[in-house]
Amino acid sequence: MHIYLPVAHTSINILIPIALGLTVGLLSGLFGVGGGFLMTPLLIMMGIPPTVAAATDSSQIVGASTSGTYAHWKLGNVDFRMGSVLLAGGLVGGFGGVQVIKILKAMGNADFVIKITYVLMLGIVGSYMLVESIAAIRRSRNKHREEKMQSDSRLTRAMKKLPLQMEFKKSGVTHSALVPLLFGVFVGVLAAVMGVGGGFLMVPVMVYLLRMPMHVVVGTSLFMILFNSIEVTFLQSYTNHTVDFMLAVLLLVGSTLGAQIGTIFGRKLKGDQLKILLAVVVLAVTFKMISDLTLTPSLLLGSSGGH
Amino acid sequence: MRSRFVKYAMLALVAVAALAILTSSASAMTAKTNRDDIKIGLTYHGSTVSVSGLADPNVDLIMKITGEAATEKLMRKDRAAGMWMNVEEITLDHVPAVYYLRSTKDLETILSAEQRNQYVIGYPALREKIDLKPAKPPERRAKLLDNFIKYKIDGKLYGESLGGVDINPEGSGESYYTVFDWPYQAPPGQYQVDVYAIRDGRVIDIAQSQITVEQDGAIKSLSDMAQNNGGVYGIAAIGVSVTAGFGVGVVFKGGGGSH
Repeated sequence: MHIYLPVAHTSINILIPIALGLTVGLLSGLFGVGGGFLMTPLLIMMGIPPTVAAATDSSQIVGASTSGTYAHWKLGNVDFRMGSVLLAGGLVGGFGGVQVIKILKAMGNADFVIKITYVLMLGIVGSYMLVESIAAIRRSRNKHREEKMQSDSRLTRAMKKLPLQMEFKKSGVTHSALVPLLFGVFVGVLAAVMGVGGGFLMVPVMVYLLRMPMHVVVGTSLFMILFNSIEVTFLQSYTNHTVDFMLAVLLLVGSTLGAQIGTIFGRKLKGDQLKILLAVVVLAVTFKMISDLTLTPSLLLGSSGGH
Repeated sequence: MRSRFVKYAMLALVAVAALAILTSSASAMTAKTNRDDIKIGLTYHGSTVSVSGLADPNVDLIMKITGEAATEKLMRKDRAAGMWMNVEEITLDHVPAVYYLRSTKDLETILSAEQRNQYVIGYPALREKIDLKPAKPPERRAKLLDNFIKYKIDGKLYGESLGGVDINPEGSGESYYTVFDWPYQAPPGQYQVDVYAIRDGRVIDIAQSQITVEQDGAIKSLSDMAQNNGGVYGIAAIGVSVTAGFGVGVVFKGGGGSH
């Protein structure tokens, strides 16, 4: 059965967005990412205009992250304190990132910077997570304690000397409030430049720099993504009129279910196994982007907007 | 005096006869579509539009369906630092939303280039009509516009086809009938159907009809709300998303977790 999308001005088989939502929701529940870096290109491939794809994606992320945050909250996996500080930094960084994009657009090289940032960030994050997770699994097999490896890092020592030290009980870590705030700003700038929620950037920051346990990282990341996506959905509806409600509902049907299923699967997998899976997904998207950038396109024209 | 009257009477008769011939020639050609409007409802997935009418015998026919002309902005891709990316925004004026052409014979064999340009028949004529900004040298302009037309064909908004017109004798002329697949991608708006009768490389007659495509019911309400009440629409979208996410979370409560 087909359904007409009033804002995208296109007709679509209802099973396609439901299946797409289910897949991306599954990733969301498993890894604590919004899935925007995956969903938006897939929607564009289905014939949805790029601007509508990006805006509608943020609307369905609201649903998926609500579902995921609720599931993780019930499991006691959301560090609201850490999430709030990171979110505050992220909002400030997001505002700064939007200004950066405005300047780059005026200079005429925004697209170049966005694409290079995308490839570099995805490539670095994906590669680091893959290598580190495989090494961690090997270490645990050799009965070495991971904590010992982490305790003496220079960055950790420097972070401990900062003022405003705060205990984040749920995560079992103590940091200066400035640390998550500044990381939040950093991720916020990059997320705004890349036009995504930033979940796939925030997860590694929480795991490797803030040293939070993986199960709390996923729940806390979803909590932040929820607020981020609410803001983006409202702004896209109000200023650009590009949120397709009908499409968002169909994606939601799949993604909310997928987020729950992902949460259940996530509990059955170990933290390092989850990281390897996420790294593989991130690297696959990176390779797709590199091939798009290097292979001659069939058309020398494209729509403006989207990621 | 009498001879002057006869002269004027003769002139009037000739004028009436000429008018009658022209009128009969113009009215010989008709065009009608099987529908005046297409409603876009919840389960809309495109439609079909038949075009039929009467024409003089021994003419070739060209049917053209065009949407309202508008301005379109697109990004031009080029290599930069070894990578393909959007490098420039281009503006195209006088772009029809839809451009469908069907002819009984190959366009170039039945109609002169001058006439094709005059009536904007065929992609080369359409290319000439489109105004491209910023202006480019002729070769680059042609390449870009070829890409633009391919972009539209890929989006099912432009198309050219040969044949597929049923022609049968009717009275002293001929009746014709053809069916177009109407794509769901065609946006709401007014569409013009032109049927050209061609003889000796020239257009000898034209008949026209119109189709209106409009959104209906829930689709129209949602579209209007998105355009005119973006704030309320955004809050509603967020409300539904949060409720759906929370609702599914509650449903999965029993099976989803041990806590």
